[in-house]
Amino acid sequence: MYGPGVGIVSRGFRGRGRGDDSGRLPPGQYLTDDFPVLSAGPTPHTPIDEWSFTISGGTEPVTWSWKEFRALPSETVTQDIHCVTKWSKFDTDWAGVSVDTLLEHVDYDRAYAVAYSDGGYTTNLPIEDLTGGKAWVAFGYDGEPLEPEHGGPARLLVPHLYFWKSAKWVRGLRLLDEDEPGFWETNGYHNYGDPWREQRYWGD
Amino acid sequence: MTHVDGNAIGGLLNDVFGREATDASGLCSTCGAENFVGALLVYRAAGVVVRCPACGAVLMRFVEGHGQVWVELGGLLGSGLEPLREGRVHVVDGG
Amino acid sequence: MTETPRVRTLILDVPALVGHRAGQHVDVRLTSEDGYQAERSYSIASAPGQPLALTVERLDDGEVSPYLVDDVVPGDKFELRGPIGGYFVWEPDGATEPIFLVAGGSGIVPLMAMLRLRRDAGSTVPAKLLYSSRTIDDVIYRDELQHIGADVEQTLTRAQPPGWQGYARRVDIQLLRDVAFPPEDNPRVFVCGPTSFVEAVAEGLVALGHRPGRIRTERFGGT
Repeated sequence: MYGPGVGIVSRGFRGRGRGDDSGRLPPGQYLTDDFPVLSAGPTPHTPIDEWSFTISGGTEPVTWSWKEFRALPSETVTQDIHCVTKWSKFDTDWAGVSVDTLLEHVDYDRAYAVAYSDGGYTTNLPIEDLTGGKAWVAFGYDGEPLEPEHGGPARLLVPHLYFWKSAKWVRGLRLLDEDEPGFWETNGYHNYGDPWREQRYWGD
Repeated sequence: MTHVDGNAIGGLLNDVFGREATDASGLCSTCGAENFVGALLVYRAAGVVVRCPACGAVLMRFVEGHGQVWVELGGLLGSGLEPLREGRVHVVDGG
Repeated sequence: MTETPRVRTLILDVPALVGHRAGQHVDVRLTSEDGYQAERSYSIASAPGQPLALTVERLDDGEVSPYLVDDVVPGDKFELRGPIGGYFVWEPDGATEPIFLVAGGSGIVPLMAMLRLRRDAGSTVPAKLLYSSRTIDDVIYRDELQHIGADVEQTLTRAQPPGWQGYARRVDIQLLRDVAFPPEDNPRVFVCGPTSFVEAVAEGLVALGHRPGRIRTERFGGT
């Protein structure tokens, strides 16, 4: 077991993360130029022709095939992203379909959502954090198709919350009346995950 | 980044259980496969996810923060870990 | 101590550390001036009873290994957790089955601890090492391997020096068949290296009839 506290400083060690005083770095975060790959399981590699995206919990479930999904209006956005493991990355370029656009096709009266993914991952969010131009189902990164290791063919992108909320390999949303904590939210990570309020863990 | 072996989380297991437990055997509650903890698959994401090498089911999850470790062992029926498998163990002073 | 251009061995003075076992690792945690922390695991290279030695390979995109290989000077301090591991260990007491050790790159490190222990303990357990490196300059413990007292087979996958007597290809099933103890000898097998290497070796050995339960693996965790 390591000793208590923040640990002894290792002379000259800087690591990958660095500070930033532009006001864009949430508390406790470090800036990186890399795009670290963190994964709770094997990368699914779902073929495009087997991929679909479903929103359930409205009056009818609505499902898009990849072709139908890609025919929806999409946008490119530049966002700062913040991982709970303390790295942040500025000005990441994404292409995706706004969740607002998807929800235009759904007749619902619900307050919460659970995003679910190939491989079984889930994460929960209030619907108000998925709407109002704050969230996308992203299929492109840096001008290229989103690579499987970063969540391709498509991942949720909710940049104003810690990045575990931006579920990789996302396949749908379940709209719910009651909040239903997801894979990490049931085991220590904060239910909401606002990086600016440093909501990393239970009790933050 | 892909997975590493269960062996890699011996330090974490030692902090949580007071023994590093990689030489204990664990039974997957999904498929029944029995493996040494040291042979399980370890993925590092926001937290640590330990999966069954036979069926891929999640056996254990660990989140380290605030000098604590949140532990969830719901997928594991383990001889060495048996007494802890029910519910969630909240271990203080993991770090 | 410099082992190769990319690999360095650090001898650590750790007063509180209890004795280690051959094959174990330690977790190293580094903290920067501004509080940033990074943790990685490194295998112990030294035999039990010897000062704790870590042999570290610099990964060009790594964040901890370049510091340990290039920047650390005697007297520097960092935090350790360990020694760790009761699964990927070998002990000579009462052991009679042969050991077959398969290393890819710096995967040699925990296996070297086993070979050093076997030598120091005067164990007569038959031992073979199959060691895969990219080039002759990447071979760690090159001189010591000459007199480690085990049967050492090497393969160089990328380039071979003139007159090279060893293998010159990636470890495949034929090479394993040539080198490994036969399954009937019931060897204990330890495999350490990059993930793809470990999986190829483990699958090859199982295909040759080795029981999966006799094969213990340790994959590197990347950067």
